[in-house]
Amino acid sequence: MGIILRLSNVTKRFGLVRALDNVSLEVREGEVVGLLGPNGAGKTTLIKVSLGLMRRDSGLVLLNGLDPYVDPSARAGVSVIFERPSLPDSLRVKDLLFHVARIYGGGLDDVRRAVKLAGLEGHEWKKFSELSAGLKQRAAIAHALLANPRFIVADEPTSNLDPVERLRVLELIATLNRDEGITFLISSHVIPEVTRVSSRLVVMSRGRVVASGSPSELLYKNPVARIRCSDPEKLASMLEASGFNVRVEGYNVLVEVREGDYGALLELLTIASRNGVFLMNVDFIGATLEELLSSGDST
Amino acid sequence: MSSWTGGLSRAYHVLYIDVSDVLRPPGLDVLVVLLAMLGAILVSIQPVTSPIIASRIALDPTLIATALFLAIRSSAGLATLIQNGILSVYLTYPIHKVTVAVILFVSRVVIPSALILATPLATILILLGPTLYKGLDVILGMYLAFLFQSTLYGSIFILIAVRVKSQATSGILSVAAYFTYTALNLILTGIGGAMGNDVVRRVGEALYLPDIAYYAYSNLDHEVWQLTLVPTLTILVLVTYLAYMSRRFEVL
Repeated sequence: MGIILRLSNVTKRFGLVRALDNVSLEVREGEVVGLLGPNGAGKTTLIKVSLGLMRRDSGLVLLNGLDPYVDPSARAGVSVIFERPSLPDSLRVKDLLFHVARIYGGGLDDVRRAVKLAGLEGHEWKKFSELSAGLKQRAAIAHALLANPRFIVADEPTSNLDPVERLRVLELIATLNRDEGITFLISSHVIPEVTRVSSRLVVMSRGRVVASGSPSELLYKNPVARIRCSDPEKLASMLEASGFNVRVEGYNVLVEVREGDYGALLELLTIASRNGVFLMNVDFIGATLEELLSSGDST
Repeated sequence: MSSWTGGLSRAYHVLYIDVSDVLRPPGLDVLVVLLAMLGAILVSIQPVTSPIIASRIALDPTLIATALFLAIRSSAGLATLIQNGILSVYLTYPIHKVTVAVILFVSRVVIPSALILATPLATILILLGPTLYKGLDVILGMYLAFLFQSTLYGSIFILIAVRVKSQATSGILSVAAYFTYTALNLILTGIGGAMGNDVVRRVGEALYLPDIAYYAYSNLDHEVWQLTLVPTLTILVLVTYLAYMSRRFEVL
């Protein structure tokens, strides 16, 4: 897989604040890379520097093998969806999309395809300001698709949406990656959303990359099993006796599970069930953003 | 399609999108109607036969309206474009930042100025046509002088907008810059005249190109360099704006 975006030791300062501190990152063709981090971690700055919309103070940025701050052709085949979807409001969406398609050498057929793919059909005759938040995001996605992109950078694409629209936009991203082969770099501070679509995660904190890896490597390395049962105290004492680190929260028993512990845990749950503990639900909880950040800080 | 014509085509479509924003109603449409009426009223009150006088009567008040329009719609409008992220969208297109900067200058300064200043001239040409047609070249020359003056104001305003990136601040600073410039023109001319300093007086006069164009067409006292001051200042401000956009500008 070829590398679409490469950042090597990139630093960007705003006055005395280092918004990006020696950041290195690669995005390869076909990947969906989730950029995780709290507000102020440097995600948006990283995206803007990656696209050449902001200067960097030091380091190397190569987009499609070219420096995007110097050479606009680096952005050929690259589209962006910004956090606050914002498109010119003076034209109807379809007319605007037509002119944008012409910028990329396309035409009406490309507009129809983008509108259909983005699920904007029936609303393309409205002006941008007349669309709901979800439809604005879809219009921004349709706008992004007009570039016939190989790579889409999406800065918190679901941040202003209700839960239903969030799910739809994420499904659309997954579909575009699977069916159209489009590479994505998606920033967010909501882990479940990013893990839904990402093949790789990069965690940022205070301008630095503090962790990276696949979702299973990062989030489920040491998951917590949440067991809802009829007698949590009895189950907890059984698990503690077998060496598990356990705590009780209401009807839930929370058990830290390390690699290789799964078999022993399942055996103990079977025994507990035979001994009168009614098991209602077992699920595994991944690491929280705070845990990821603290594990990254400690490394 | 060659890369040159491809680049031109891309620039045209970005220009179309941005001009649609600049010319969106209400704004320019209302102003154009008002200025057309003003032109008609002025030449009805004072029906003149001289193309130079007629164009000054029509264009002097229009230039003030143009400057205020540029301060509000072009400068503050451009800052809004930066604040709401639309300029970021323009900059993600595969065109150079300098091209985007030139497009913004054309759509937010040249086109509105040309349209607004042409409106009252069109009115007086309709009303006083038979007497003015013989001096069309003079009217065109005066129009270009006013257009250059307006372009200088607009260049200063958009430089302010891309520097401060705030709608309210750039609007206020642009209006302040216009009145400061006008005051400078009057003060230098006045001081130069009062002190008998010919250079200061001529520099003051030259800050307002329509005056010098008027002197030139009327064979009144002027020097050739005075005709070049405003175009030179315009070019200097434009080069500064383009250099800033290509080397220092960052989106919010």
